[in-house]
Amino acid sequence: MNIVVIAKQVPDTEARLTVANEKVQLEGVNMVINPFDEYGLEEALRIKDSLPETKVYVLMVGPESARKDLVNCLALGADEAILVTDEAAAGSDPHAIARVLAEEIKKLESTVVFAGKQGVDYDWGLAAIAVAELLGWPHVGVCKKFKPDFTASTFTAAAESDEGDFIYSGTLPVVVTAEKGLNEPRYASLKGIMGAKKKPFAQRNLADVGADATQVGGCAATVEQVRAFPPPEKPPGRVIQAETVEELVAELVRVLREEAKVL
Amino acid sequence: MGKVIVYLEAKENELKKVSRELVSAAKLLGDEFIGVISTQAAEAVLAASGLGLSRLVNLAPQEGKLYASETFAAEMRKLAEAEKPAFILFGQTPLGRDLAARLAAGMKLGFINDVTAVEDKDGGKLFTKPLYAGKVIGQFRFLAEPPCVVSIRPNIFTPSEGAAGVSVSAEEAVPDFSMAKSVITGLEKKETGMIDLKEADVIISGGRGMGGPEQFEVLFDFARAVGAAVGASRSAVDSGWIDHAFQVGQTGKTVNPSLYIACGISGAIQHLAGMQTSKCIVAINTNEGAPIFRIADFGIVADLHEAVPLLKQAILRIRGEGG
Repeated sequence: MNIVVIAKQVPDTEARLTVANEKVQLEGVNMVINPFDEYGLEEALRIKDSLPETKVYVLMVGPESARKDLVNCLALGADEAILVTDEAAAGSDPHAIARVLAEEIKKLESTVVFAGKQGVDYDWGLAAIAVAELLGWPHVGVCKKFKPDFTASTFTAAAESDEGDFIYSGTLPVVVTAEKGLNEPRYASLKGIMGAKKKPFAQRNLADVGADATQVGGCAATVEQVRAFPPPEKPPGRVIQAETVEELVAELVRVLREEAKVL
Repeated sequence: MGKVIVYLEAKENELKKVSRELVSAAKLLGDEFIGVISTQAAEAVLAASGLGLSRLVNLAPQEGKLYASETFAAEMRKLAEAEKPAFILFGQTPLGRDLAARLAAGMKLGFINDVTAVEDKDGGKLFTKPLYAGKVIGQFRFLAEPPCVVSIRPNIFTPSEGAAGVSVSAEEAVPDFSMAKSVITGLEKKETGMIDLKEADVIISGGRGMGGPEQFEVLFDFARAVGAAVGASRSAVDSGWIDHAFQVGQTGKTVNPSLYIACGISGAIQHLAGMQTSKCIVAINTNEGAPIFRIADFGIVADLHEAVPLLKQAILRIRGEGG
């Protein structure tokens, strides 16, 4: 059985970002695998732990610099990595990324595709669901519990909502987008790190994938980012001074009521 | 201007606040509004029918079949093809985000989610959307033909009161769940009375300074008494003190209440990203050097375990005086 994990490269959540000429400046910013994708990978690896004949593929459309991140996925236990990297993919919107991913996934005869619930960069949350649509598969979004039954070709799942957990029931194959809390991702073992470099790593361009070049990149984009700007700066706040906690709280309540008018 | 389809949502028997906000956002994008809702609650349907809509369609859920992306996207597609709207609007809620994406994917529509502002520019519309959890703000426009899919962030647009005296009767539709390969069959309710972080007006949030899982009780006690939602920082969640559902920040929820009270939270950048648009931020921390004090409107250097109960009593006293 094959499982595909979709991954994306994003700026580290600890990174500060700056804007120049109305564009986000990513040069020199530490780039990592999207944190939500790590939960997808872990879920795939847990299936492989219980069914060792499972093969886990990690698939990314991204820059050459993401190779190290995919090698890290191999160190964690994935079997093969596929990096689709092509200048012509620049400016792709999530629909176009999904077309490329779906072309690759079709070749892999997989039963489950995992992805993060959204990239922590643009938070679109669209590409993985568009992959499901292109494959004609169902999806479970923002998944916090996933229980497949590979014999019966069914699954149950849970996803968080504001009223409680939604309980899903459906049939495989399925695209699952992972929420934090789905699992606790593992660390790479020394053996895993040593073995990662020997595992298959395919680097492909759009022609290799067989994606329609007119449907990918900026020319096919459905939205355009007009500009980016930093969030408005807040004026410096005030640290309230008083002798006792009682006085501090009393003064805090007064300013919240009279100045901020939020009480 | 043209037609806008708005996807309304009910929570228990009531129309969600974000649904009223959607109608306000729709007024920036069109002049005729078609509502879609999925509920068995007559009160919610009644509330929706008074929102100034020209049509209201209820995709009635069935026993053991509450929602299916494929089914609902197919229903929305039928409606979109018949009505030819300029925009289809959703709230950025668990189901709103799910359906918006599945619909946009199937119809290959332009899609901008989590929108916080709409403005006119050169005869078109510009949509503002926070990026990197709010570290940067982006402005986008659609290149695709209509209809275009937009989801709006809760708690930003002013809720619409609706149109007095104008009411539309709901058309019942029976969604075809047999086509769906994944269905929501039920809802495991969590503790009732807790307020949703995304829609909360007051949030009290705890970080590593809480000291442990039991200590969160002081925040829950405050929240129950005052009518607030409880949040948490990533380090508190990663320490296993509280469920991830409570996490505020870049890998948790982005929130924008009127009042955000950060207790024992140092103020890591990924946390600040998720709450910096709160109208008023209060920091309570024993470490006066904590970065949270730089972003807070008001700070007190104090032990949260002492300060939070005092704050609760003070707020209750004010409310007792009638505000």
